[in-house]
Amino acid sequence: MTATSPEFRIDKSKPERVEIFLPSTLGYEKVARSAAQAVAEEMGFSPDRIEDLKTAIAEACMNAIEHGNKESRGTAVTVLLTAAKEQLEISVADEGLTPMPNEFPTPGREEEDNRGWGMFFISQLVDEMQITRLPAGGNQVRMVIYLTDSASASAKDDTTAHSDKG
Amino acid sequence: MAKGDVLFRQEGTLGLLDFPRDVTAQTRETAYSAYNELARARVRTLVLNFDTTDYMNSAGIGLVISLVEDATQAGRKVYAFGLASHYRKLFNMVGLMERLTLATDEQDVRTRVSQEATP
Repeated sequence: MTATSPEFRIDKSKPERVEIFLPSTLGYEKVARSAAQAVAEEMGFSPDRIEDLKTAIAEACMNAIEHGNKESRGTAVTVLLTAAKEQLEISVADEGLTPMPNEFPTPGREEEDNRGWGMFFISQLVDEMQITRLPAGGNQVRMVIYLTDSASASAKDDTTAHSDKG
Repeated sequence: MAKGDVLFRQEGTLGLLDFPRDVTAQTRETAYSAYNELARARVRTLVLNFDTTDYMNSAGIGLVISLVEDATQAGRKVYAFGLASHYRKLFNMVGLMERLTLATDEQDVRTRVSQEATP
């Protein structure tokens, strides 16, 4: 007798959401990586894009754990994956014990132990990235990756059109 | 949750650092302990082995940058092998690919080093 795993299918007719709460302990970012990988594979992203996504989500979670929540017991990092027809949106929110700076220092030797590359990687690996301060006081990093170049171009056209109207 | 330490091997003037499965901030202490042992042994070539590494975060990459900077400032040539294509891409983004030589495997490093040593 062979065991079979149940089918995992994303209903592309409407956005589907996966929400994860992580303890503020370094290492738990790997849970978010695994969840994002599972969703992105099911959506049909290429292996290269999935690796990009895994790094981006891990870095956002690490930033939330280390800085936003100061690794404080009792705080949590909330990860929300929203799978839509042509895009995967990822939100990583912390409790804002340290507000996110408006500008990040240039990563490199000036930073202790050559740290500070996380936000740089995120900005290079996803199609869209926004950092916002939530009304309740937390920080949120919102990232989007598109399934195809045409979906990405279409989203950019929409953004431009809205900007032109504004 | 980081797994494993960085181990070192010395073969003449060749010093190898074997990185663990997870390369993170927690790897720094054993990485530098291993590197300092090789530096004391006056190795001329440093080899970074990522064969078993499957997770490297920005802190881990920062650690590799520090090691490569320290090794090159001390006049050591640095090789790396075993890097997955995604991490080659990240190394390229931070300028590491210009500061080390990528080899296909350990044997490739030995061949290159012996060719360099031949007058």
